[in-house]
Amino acid sequence: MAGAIRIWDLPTRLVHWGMALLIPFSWWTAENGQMDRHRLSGYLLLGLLLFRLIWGFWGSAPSRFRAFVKGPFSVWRYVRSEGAREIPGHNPLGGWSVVAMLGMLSLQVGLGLFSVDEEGFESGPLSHLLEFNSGRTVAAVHEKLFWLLVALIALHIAAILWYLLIRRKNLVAAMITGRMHPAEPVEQPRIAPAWRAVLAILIAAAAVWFVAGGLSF
Amino acid sequence: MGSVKIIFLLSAGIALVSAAAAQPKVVISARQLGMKQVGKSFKTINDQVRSGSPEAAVVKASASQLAALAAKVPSWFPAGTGPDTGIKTAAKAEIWTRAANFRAKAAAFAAATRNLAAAAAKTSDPGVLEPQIRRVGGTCKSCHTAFKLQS
Repeated sequence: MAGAIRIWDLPTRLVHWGMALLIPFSWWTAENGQMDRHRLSGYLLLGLLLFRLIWGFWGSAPSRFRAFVKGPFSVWRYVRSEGAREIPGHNPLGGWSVVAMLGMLSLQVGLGLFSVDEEGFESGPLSHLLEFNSGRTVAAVHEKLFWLLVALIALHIAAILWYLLIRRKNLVAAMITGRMHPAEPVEQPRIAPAWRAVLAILIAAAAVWFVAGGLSF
Repeated sequence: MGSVKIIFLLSAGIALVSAAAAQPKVVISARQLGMKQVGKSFKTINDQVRSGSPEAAVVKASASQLAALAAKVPSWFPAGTGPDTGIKTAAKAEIWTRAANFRAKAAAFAAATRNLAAAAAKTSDPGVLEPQIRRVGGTCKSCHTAFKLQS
Protein backbone atom coordinates (compact mmCIF):
# COMPACT_ATOMS: atom_id res chain seq x y z
CA MET A 1 0.00 0.00 0.00
CA ALA A 2 1.30 3.40 -0.97
CA GLY A 3 1.31 6.44 1.32
CA ALA A 4 -1.76 8.50 2.10
CA ILE A 5 -2.85 11.28 -0.24
CA ARG A 6 -5.22 14.17 0.35
CA ILE A 7 -8.32 13.51 -1.72
CA TRP A 8 -11.22 15.57 -0.28
CA ASP A 9 -10.44 19.13 0.75
CA LEU A 10 -12.07 20.66 3.83
CA PRO A 11 -14.74 22.65 1.91
CA THR A 12 -15.89 19.52 0.03
CA ARG A 13 -16.16 17.58 3.29
CA LEU A 14 -18.04 20.39 5.04
CA VAL A 15 -20.48 20.61 2.13
CA HIS A 16 -20.99 16.85 2.25
CA TRP A 17 -21.63 16.57 6.00
CA GLY A 18 -23.60 19.80 6.03
CA MET A 19 -25.99 18.31 3.49
CA ALA A 20 -26.07 15.00 5.37
CA LEU A 21 -27.29 16.90 8.47
CA LEU A 22 -29.53 19.48 6.83
CA ILE A 23 -31.53 17.16 4.56
CA PRO A 24 -32.96 15.12 7.49
CA PHE A 25 -33.36 18.36 9.46
CA SER A 26 -35.38 19.89 6.61
CA TRP A 27 -37.62 16.83 6.54
CA TRP A 28 -38.10 16.85 10.32
CA THR A 29 -38.93 20.57 10.53
CA ALA A 30 -41.43 20.27 7.67
CA GLU A 31 -43.11 17.26 9.30
CA ASN A 32 -43.42 19.18 12.57
CA GLY A 33 -44.59 22.45 11.05
CA GLN A 34 -41.47 24.36 12.12
CA MET A 35 -41.40 26.42 8.97
CA ASP A 36 -39.02 29.13 10.21
CA ARG A 37 -36.38 26.48 10.79
CA HIS A 38 -37.33 24.72 7.55
CA ARG A 39 -36.75 27.94 5.61
CA LEU A 40 -33.42 28.53 7.36
CA SER A 41 -32.34 24.97 6.57
CA GLY A 42 -33.30 25.56 2.94
CA TYR A 43 -31.23 28.74 2.80
CA LEU A 44 -28.22 26.90 4.22
CA LEU A 45 -28.67 24.10 1.68
CA LEU A 46 -28.98 26.66 -1.11
CA GLY A 47 -25.70 28.18 0.08
CA LEU A 48 -24.00 24.77 0.17
CA LEU A 49 -25.29 23.95 -3.32
CA LEU A 50 -24.13 27.26 -4.79
CA PHE A 51 -20.76 26.87 -3.10
CA ARG A 52 -20.44 23.29 -4.41
CA LEU A 53 -21.31 24.50 -7.91
CA ILE A 54 -18.51 27.09 -7.78
CA TRP A 55 -16.18 24.57 -6.16
CA GLY A 56 -16.82 22.24 -9.08
CA PHE A 57 -14.79 24.71 -11.16
CA TRP A 58 -12.46 26.35 -8.62
CA GLY A 59 -11.96 23.56 -6.10
CA SER A 60 -9.25 20.96 -5.56
CA ALA A 61 -8.74 18.63 -8.52
CA PRO A 62 -10.84 15.65 -7.24
CA SER A 63 -13.78 17.98 -6.38
CA ARG A 64 -13.99 19.48 -9.86
CA PHE A 65 -16.75 18.34 -12.18
CA ARG A 66 -14.09 17.82 -14.86
CA ALA A 67 -12.58 15.10 -12.67
CA PHE A 68 -15.70 13.01 -12.23
CA VAL A 69 -18.36 13.87 -14.82
CA LYS A 70 -17.55 11.40 -17.59
CA GLY A 71 -19.27 10.36 -20.80
CA PRO A 72 -21.36 7.19 -21.19
CA PHE A 73 -18.46 5.23 -22.72
CA SER A 74 -16.24 5.83 -19.70
CA VAL A 75 -19.08 4.72 -17.44
CA TRP A 76 -19.66 1.61 -19.56
CA ARG A 77 -15.96 0.69 -19.59
CA TYR A 78 -15.81 1.19 -15.84
CA VAL A 79 -18.88 -1.00 -15.22
CA ARG A 80 -17.55 -3.70 -17.63
CA SER A 81 -14.25 -3.84 -15.77
CA GLU A 82 -16.18 -4.03 -12.48
CA GLY A 83 -14.10 -1.21 -11.15
CA ALA A 84 -10.88 -3.23 -11.44
CA ARG A 85 -8.75 -0.11 -11.75
CA GLU A 86 -8.81 2.02 -8.63
CA ILE A 87 -9.65 5.63 -9.31
CA PRO A 88 -8.89 8.12 -6.55
CA GLY A 89 -12.02 10.19 -5.98
CA HIS A 90 -15.35 9.56 -7.71
CA ASN A 91 -15.31 6.79 -10.32
CA PRO A 92 -17.21 7.39 -13.62
CA LEU A 93 -20.38 5.74 -12.26
CA GLY A 94 -20.21 7.30 -8.80
CA GLY A 95 -19.66 10.68 -10.45
CA TRP A 96 -23.12 10.48 -11.97
CA SER A 97 -24.54 9.52 -8.60
CA VAL A 98 -23.10 12.79 -7.24
CA VAL A 99 -24.51 14.75 -10.18
CA ALA A 100 -27.93 13.12 -9.70
CA MET A 101 -28.02 13.88 -5.97
CA LEU A 102 -26.84 17.48 -6.38
CA GLY A 103 -29.29 17.98 -9.26
CA MET A 104 -32.23 16.57 -7.33
CA LEU A 105 -31.33 18.58 -4.23
CA SER A 106 -31.09 21.74 -6.36
CA LEU A 107 -34.51 21.05 -7.83
CA GLN A 108 -35.89 20.37 -4.35
CA VAL A 109 -34.45 23.58 -2.87
CA GLY A 110 -35.55 25.52 -5.96
CA LEU A 111 -39.15 24.31 -5.60
CA GLY A 112 -39.08 25.18 -1.91
CA LEU A 113 -38.35 28.82 -2.79
CA PHE A 114 -41.69 29.02 -4.62
CA SER A 115 -43.79 26.85 -2.31
CA VAL A 116 -46.91 28.14 -0.59
CA ASP A 117 -48.56 26.41 2.37
CA GLU A 118 -52.26 25.58 2.52
CA GLU A 119 -53.01 28.74 4.50
CA GLY A 120 -51.17 31.13 2.21
CA PHE A 121 -49.12 32.06 5.27
CA GLU A 122 -45.82 30.19 5.41
CA SER A 123 -44.07 30.27 2.08
CA GLY A 124 -40.77 30.39 0.23
CA PRO A 125 -39.05 33.72 -0.43
CA LEU A 126 -39.98 33.72 -4.12
CA SER A 127 -43.59 32.56 -3.70
CA HIS A 128 -44.86 36.10 -4.28
CA LEU A 129 -43.99 35.56 -7.95
CA LEU A 130 -46.65 32.82 -8.20
CA GLU A 131 -50.36 32.90 -7.51
CA PHE A 132 -51.82 30.75 -4.74
CA ASN A 133 -52.82 27.68 -6.79
CA SER A 134 -49.47 27.45 -8.61
CA GLY A 135 -47.65 27.87 -5.31
CA ARG A 136 -49.70 25.01 -3.87
CA THR A 137 -48.87 22.79 -6.85
CA VAL A 138 -45.17 23.56 -6.41
CA ALA A 139 -45.48 22.68 -2.72
CA ALA A 140 -47.14 19.35 -3.57
CA VAL A 141 -44.32 18.47 -5.99
CA HIS A 142 -41.80 19.65 -3.37
CA GLU A 143 -43.30 17.18 -0.91
CA LYS A 144 -43.36 14.21 -3.30
CA LEU A 145 -39.97 14.81 -4.90
CA PHE A 146 -38.28 14.54 -1.52
CA TRP A 147 -38.70 10.75 -1.67
CA LEU A 148 -36.89 10.62 -5.01
CA LEU A 149 -34.00 12.42 -3.33
CA VAL A 150 -34.17 9.89 -0.49
CA ALA A 151 -34.02 7.06 -3.06
CA LEU A 152 -30.86 8.54 -4.61
CA ILE A 153 -29.29 8.94 -1.16
CA ALA A 154 -30.22 5.33 -0.30
CA LEU A 155 -28.43 4.21 -3.47
CA HIS A 156 -25.41 6.31 -2.46
CA ILE A 157 -25.32 4.70 1.01
CA ALA A 158 -25.81 1.21 -0.48
CA ALA A 159 -22.79 1.78 -2.74
CA ILE A 160 -20.67 2.87 0.24
CA LEU A 161 -21.74 -0.25 2.16
CA TRP A 162 -20.89 -2.40 -0.86
CA TYR A 163 -17.39 -0.92 -0.92
CA LEU A 164 -17.03 -1.39 2.84
CA LEU A 165 -18.32 -4.99 3.07
CA ILE A 166 -17.37 -6.50 -0.32
CA ARG A 167 -14.37 -4.46 -1.36
CA ARG A 168 -13.12 -3.79 2.18
CA LYS A 169 -12.68 -0.12 1.37
CA ASN A 170 -13.75 2.52 3.84
CA LEU A 171 -14.95 5.51 1.83
CA VAL A 172 -16.53 7.17 4.86
CA ALA A 173 -13.15 7.57 6.56
CA ALA A 174 -11.84 9.44 3.51
CA MET A 175 -14.83 11.80 3.65
CA ILE A 176 -14.08 12.49 7.33
CA THR A 177 -10.28 12.80 7.30
CA GLY A 178 -9.94 13.88 3.68
CA ARG A 179 -7.22 11.27 3.21
CA MET A 180 -7.11 7.96 1.39
CA HIS A 181 -4.58 5.18 0.99
CA PRO A 182 -4.45 4.22 -2.69
CA ALA A 183 -3.52 0.61 -3.47
CA GLU A 184 -0.99 1.80 -6.02
CA PRO A 185 1.01 5.01 -5.75
CA VAL A 186 -0.78 7.94 -7.35
CA GLU A 187 0.20 11.54 -7.66
CA GLN A 188 -1.07 13.87 -4.95
CA PRO A 189 -3.99 15.78 -6.55
CA ARG A 190 -3.72 19.55 -6.56
CA ILE A 191 -5.47 21.09 -3.53
CA ALA A 192 -7.10 24.50 -3.97
CA PRO A 193 -5.85 27.42 -1.83
CA ALA A 194 -8.05 28.64 1.03
CA TRP A 195 -8.60 32.12 -0.41
CA ARG A 196 -10.57 30.61 -3.28
CA ALA A 197 -12.90 28.90 -0.80
CA VAL A 198 -13.37 32.22 1.02
CA LEU A 199 -14.25 33.96 -2.24
CA ALA A 200 -16.67 31.17 -3.21
CA ILE A 201 -18.33 31.35 0.24
CA LEU A 202 -18.79 35.12 -0.13
CA ILE A 203 -20.37 34.73 -3.58
CA ALA A 204 -22.68 31.91 -2.41
CA ALA A 205 -23.70 33.84 0.74
CA ALA A 206 -24.46 36.99 -1.26
CA ALA A 207 -26.62 34.98 -3.68
CA VAL A 208 -28.53 33.35 -0.81
CA TRP A 209 -29.09 36.76 0.78
CA PHE A 210 -30.48 38.09 -2.48
CA VAL A 211 -32.84 35.10 -2.95
CA ALA A 212 -33.94 35.02 0.71
CA GLY A 213 -34.92 38.68 0.42
CA GLY A 214 -37.25 37.86 -2.50
CA LEU A 215 -34.78 39.03 -5.16
CA SER A 216 -34.33 42.46 -3.67
CA PHE A 217 -31.75 43.98 -1.35
CA MET B 1 -71.93 44.88 17.81
CA GLY B 2 -74.94 42.95 19.08
CA SER B 3 -76.95 43.32 15.88
CA VAL B 4 -73.90 42.48 13.76
CA LYS B 5 -73.52 39.30 15.77
CA ILE B 6 -77.17 38.40 15.29
CA ILE B 7 -77.00 39.01 11.54
CA PHE B 8 -73.81 36.96 11.41
CA LEU B 9 -75.40 34.08 13.32
CA LEU B 10 -78.54 34.24 11.23
CA SER B 11 -76.72 34.18 7.92
CA ALA B 12 -74.48 31.40 9.17
CA GLY B 13 -77.60 29.49 10.24
CA ILE B 14 -79.29 29.94 6.90
CA ALA B 15 -76.16 28.84 5.09
CA LEU B 16 -75.95 25.83 7.38
CA VAL B 17 -79.50 24.73 6.70
CA SER B 18 -79.21 25.22 2.95
CA ALA B 19 -75.84 23.47 2.87
CA ALA B 20 -77.16 20.50 4.85
CA ALA B 21 -79.92 20.09 2.32
CA ALA B 22 -77.39 19.99 -0.51
CA GLN B 23 -75.41 16.95 -1.60
CA PRO B 24 -72.33 16.27 0.59
CA LYS B 25 -70.21 16.19 -2.54
CA VAL B 26 -71.33 19.69 -3.51
CA VAL B 27 -70.79 20.97 0.03
CA ILE B 28 -67.30 19.47 0.21
CA SER B 29 -66.15 20.93 -3.10
CA ALA B 30 -67.68 24.31 -2.22
CA ARG B 31 -65.82 24.15 1.10
CA GLN B 32 -62.53 23.34 -0.64
CA LEU B 33 -63.08 26.22 -3.04
CA GLY B 34 -63.87 28.49 -0.10
CA MET B 35 -60.72 27.48 1.75
CA LYS B 36 -58.70 28.15 -1.41
CA GLN B 37 -60.21 31.64 -1.51
CA VAL B 38 -59.14 32.08 2.11
CA GLY B 39 -55.59 31.03 1.20
CA LYS B 40 -55.58 33.31 -1.86
CA SER B 41 -56.70 36.41 0.00
CA PHE B 42 -54.33 35.73 2.90
CA LYS B 43 -51.44 35.18 0.46
CA THR B 44 -52.25 38.47 -1.28
CA ILE B 45 -52.05 40.28 2.08
CA ASN B 46 -48.81 38.51 2.99
CA ASP B 47 -47.19 39.19 -0.40
CA GLN B 48 -48.10 42.87 -0.13
CA VAL B 49 -46.96 43.35 3.46
CA ARG B 50 -43.72 41.40 2.95
CA SER B 51 -42.91 43.37 -0.21
CA GLY B 52 -41.89 46.33 1.96
CA SER B 53 -44.10 48.75 0.00
CA PRO B 54 -47.66 47.43 0.34
CA GLU B 55 -50.49 48.88 -1.72
CA ALA B 56 -52.98 50.03 0.90
CA ALA B 57 -56.05 49.49 -1.31
CA VAL B 58 -55.09 45.90 -2.17
CA VAL B 59 -54.36 45.02 1.45
CA LYS B 60 -57.60 46.61 2.62
CA ALA B 61 -59.73 44.82 0.01
CA SER B 62 -58.09 41.44 0.61
CA ALA B 63 -58.37 41.79 4.39
CA SER B 64 -62.09 42.56 4.24
CA GLN B 65 -62.58 39.68 1.78
CA LEU B 66 -60.70 37.38 4.17
CA ALA B 67 -62.86 38.48 7.10
CA ALA B 68 -66.04 37.89 5.06
CA LEU B 69 -64.85 34.38 4.12
CA ALA B 70 -63.76 33.58 7.67
CA ALA B 71 -67.22 34.40 8.97
CA LYS B 72 -68.62 31.70 6.68
CA VAL B 73 -66.30 28.91 7.81
CA PRO B 74 -68.69 27.23 10.30
CA SER B 75 -71.39 27.08 7.59
CA TRP B 76 -68.99 25.11 5.38
CA PHE B 77 -69.09 22.15 7.77
CA PRO B 78 -72.69 20.93 8.06
CA ALA B 79 -73.21 17.49 9.62
CA GLY B 80 -72.90 14.64 7.14
CA THR B 81 -70.00 16.11 5.16
CA GLY B 82 -67.18 14.38 7.01
CA PRO B 83 -64.88 11.47 6.13
CA ASP B 84 -67.65 8.90 6.70
CA THR B 85 -69.31 10.06 3.44
CA GLY B 86 -66.57 8.21 1.59
CA ILE B 87 -65.86 11.36 -0.39
CA LYS B 88 -62.25 12.54 -0.39
CA THR B 89 -61.95 15.21 2.28
CA ALA B 90 -59.25 16.34 4.70
CA ALA B 91 -61.91 17.27 7.26
CA LYS B 92 -61.53 15.08 10.35
CA ALA B 93 -64.54 13.48 12.06
CA GLU B 94 -63.54 15.41 15.21
CA ILE B 95 -65.05 18.55 13.65
CA TRP B 96 -68.45 17.08 14.52
CA THR B 97 -67.56 14.94 17.56
CA ARG B 98 -65.83 17.90 19.22
CA ALA B 99 -68.09 20.52 17.68
CA ALA B 100 -67.80 23.09 20.48
CA ASN B 101 -64.02 23.11 20.20
CA PHE B 102 -64.20 23.40 16.42
CA ARG B 103 -66.63 26.33 16.65
CA ALA B 104 -64.40 28.06 19.18
CA LYS B 105 -61.42 27.74 16.84
CA ALA B 106 -63.44 28.96 13.85
CA ALA B 107 -64.65 31.90 15.95
CA ALA B 108 -61.06 32.74 16.96
CA PHE B 109 -60.09 32.71 13.29
CA ALA B 110 -63.01 34.95 12.34
CA ALA B 111 -62.17 37.37 15.16
CA ALA B 112 -58.50 37.53 14.12
CA THR B 113 -59.47 38.29 10.51
CA ARG B 114 -61.92 41.00 11.66
CA ASN B 115 -59.13 42.65 13.65
CA LEU B 116 -56.81 42.43 10.66
CA ALA B 117 -59.46 43.94 8.38
CA ALA B 118 -60.08 46.75 10.88
CA ALA B 119 -56.35 47.51 11.05
CA ALA B 120 -55.93 47.29 7.26
CA ALA B 121 -58.81 49.74 6.79
CA LYS B 122 -56.70 52.36 8.58
CA THR B 123 -53.11 51.57 7.58
CA SER B 124 -50.87 49.42 5.42
CA ASP B 125 -47.92 49.86 7.78
CA PRO B 126 -46.24 46.43 8.02
CA GLY B 127 -45.28 47.16 11.64
CA VAL B 128 -48.96 47.40 12.55
CA LEU B 129 -50.26 44.62 10.29
CA GLU B 130 -47.61 41.97 10.91
CA PRO B 131 -48.69 41.08 14.48
CA GLN B 132 -52.31 40.83 13.26
CA ILE B 133 -51.22 38.64 10.34
CA ARG B 134 -49.31 36.35 12.68
CA ARG B 135 -52.41 36.02 14.86
CA VAL B 136 -54.52 35.07 11.82
CA GLY B 137 -51.86 32.55 10.73
CA GLY B 138 -51.84 31.10 14.23
CA THR B 139 -55.60 30.56 14.24
CA CYS B 140 -55.43 28.87 10.80
CA LYS B 141 -52.75 26.55 12.01
CA SER B 142 -54.31 25.73 15.37
CA CYS B 143 -57.59 24.67 13.73
CA HIS B 144 -55.86 22.75 10.91
CA THR B 145 -53.63 20.90 13.36
CA ALA B 146 -56.66 19.74 15.35
CA PHE B 147 -59.24 19.22 12.61
CA LYS B 148 -57.55 18.83 9.24
CA LEU B 149 -55.97 15.62 8.01
CA GLN B 150 -52.34 16.41 7.22
CA SER B 151 -51.07 14.94 3.97
